[in-house]
Amino acid sequence: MISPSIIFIGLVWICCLIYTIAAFGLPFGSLQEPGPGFLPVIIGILGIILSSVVLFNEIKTLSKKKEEPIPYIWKVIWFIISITIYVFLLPLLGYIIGTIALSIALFKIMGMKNWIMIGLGGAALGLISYYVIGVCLEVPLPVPVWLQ
Amino acid sequence: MEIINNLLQGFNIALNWNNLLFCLLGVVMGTVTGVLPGLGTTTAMILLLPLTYGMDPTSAIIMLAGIYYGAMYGGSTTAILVNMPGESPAVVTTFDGYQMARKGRAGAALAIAATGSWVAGTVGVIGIMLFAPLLARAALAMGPPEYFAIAALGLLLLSNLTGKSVLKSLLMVIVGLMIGTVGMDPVRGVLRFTFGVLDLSRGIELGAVTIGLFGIAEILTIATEKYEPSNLIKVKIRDMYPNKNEIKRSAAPCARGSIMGFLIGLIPGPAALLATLASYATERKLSKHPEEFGKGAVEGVAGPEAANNAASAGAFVPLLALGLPFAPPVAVLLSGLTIHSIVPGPMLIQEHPALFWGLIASMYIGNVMLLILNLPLVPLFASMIKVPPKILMPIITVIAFSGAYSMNNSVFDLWLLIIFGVIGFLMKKAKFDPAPLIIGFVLGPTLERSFRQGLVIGDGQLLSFMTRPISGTILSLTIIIIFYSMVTAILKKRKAKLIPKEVVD
Repeated sequence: MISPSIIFIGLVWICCLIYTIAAFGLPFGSLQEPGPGFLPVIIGILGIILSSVVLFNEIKTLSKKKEEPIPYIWKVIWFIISITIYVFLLPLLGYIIGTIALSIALFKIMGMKNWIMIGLGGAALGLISYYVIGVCLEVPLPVPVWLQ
Repeated sequence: MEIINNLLQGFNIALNWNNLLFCLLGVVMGTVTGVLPGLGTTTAMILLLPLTYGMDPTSAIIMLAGIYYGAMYGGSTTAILVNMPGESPAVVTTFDGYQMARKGRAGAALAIAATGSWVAGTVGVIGIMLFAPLLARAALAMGPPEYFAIAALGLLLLSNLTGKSVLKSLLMVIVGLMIGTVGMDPVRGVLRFTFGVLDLSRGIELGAVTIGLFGIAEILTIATEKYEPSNLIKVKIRDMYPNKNEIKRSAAPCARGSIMGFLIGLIPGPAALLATLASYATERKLSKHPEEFGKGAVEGVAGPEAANNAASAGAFVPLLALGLPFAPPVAVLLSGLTIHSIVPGPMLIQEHPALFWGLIASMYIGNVMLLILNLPLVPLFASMIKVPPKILMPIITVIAFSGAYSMNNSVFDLWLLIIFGVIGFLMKKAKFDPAPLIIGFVLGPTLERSFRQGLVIGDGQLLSFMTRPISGTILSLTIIIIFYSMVTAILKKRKAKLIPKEVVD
């Protein structure tokens, strides 16, 4: 199993590299008049160096110990899938329907078993949150496409 | 005399019904946040930030500040009753607070924690009242090189004091600085690192980053944990009184913790946690009963609880006097001020005296409210811990997404929320602390602007930063800390290599 720390530090290294390449495309300026690329180039290079050192140290440390798998990882994966679908469909479904659907999904993923309670809980959470945020606090929330 | 007059004016503002209500709302929200896992002070403040858009700036800051110091009270409740710290600084309170509860002295422990917090909060507010105007006056003599030097030293200290690895914390600071450069260049207005995405031209929203890294990441982490119902120790109101001996033993630790906590609160980093650890170690050394520590020593509750509240007050000083936040919750306060077009810094006290003195006065009032609320309402706050994660986490998720959306009415911020939530989860698993990233992100624009302006002032001479007395002193200190850290790390590695050889010999 690939360690989360290696994944994370590897991602950071890649991001630092992309950032530094993009930073070199900005006007660097001079010491007398530093440009928008001045500090980004410096921190980008520092980022690549640091992330390389941390990645190397992490690989060295991990070779000496056994990495335990993350328990209940499927819950995390389903959670992420649910919130991703929610954000994708939010402009289409609107806040109320979208949030009710998300709440039902999350109650089920987090371990609730009784479907009636899940349905009632989801509906209550969606409607109460709409009332408090959208009506009482007057925050404009997404409206379904067919109502626009 | 001037201070007294200003303070009286502040009370005049704070005692207005509107401000009293928002102060009460803030401290109650703060206490609830401190009690509940998964929410966190920073996330709670960020979620309430959009609600302050239509409010008077003074009321908004009073409420947000109330959440911050209120959370310190709430964190100790779960630490004592369930051996579970609601906030990380309350970890130390579990050592002796829970042991006191197991001996039937839960009420006394809660009362001592609440009273100690009130004393420390009051001392902290006096400290802000005296230090912030002095520091603000001194800051008027500072220019971009000095601001750069302070920001650089602050970020370096943060890396050294946060987490177990300096390199990991420093890397997170660099990542934070990188994220802070996305959007418009603060000096020339050129777009940077937007990769053609229009939504990135206004930069990355602090709320999405904070709620993602602290809130969503925590929820994902709780999803991987097996739920075990908490063994809540019941407390009766009539048992809420410490005896004479407990009062006598807690007085001095309270006083020491207050002063120590406030001074530690001035420095960057996890000040509240450091303050509680320092206070615990001090009280153990000074106590006539050191053998009781870890088994229910009153000093082990009184000192740390006072220290963490005083530290949260101390953290306000750099923000109000210099405009530099050195802790994530204080960074949210900076956002709150900026949203209302108020620039914190040396001119804040002169240009917005009503806000500054109104805030100070409200902190006195807020601490009294917390003392009154925390004792009789402890059973109510404590019962919130019984709500299982399968009910609580979906509720917090919906609040988080709604809060993040309401900042800019933008679905793009929700995408950022998911991205930073996943990043925050990976960071937790990889043992990286998110605080350096947040502070790097918030201080990045100030650091860059000050650095570039400093170079222009010094005509491109890097040494000009060292020739100015204040920036030169601070940068020299920064360089000394860097060399000290490197030398310590090298010596530690050499010692670790030598030890197995010596054992074999």
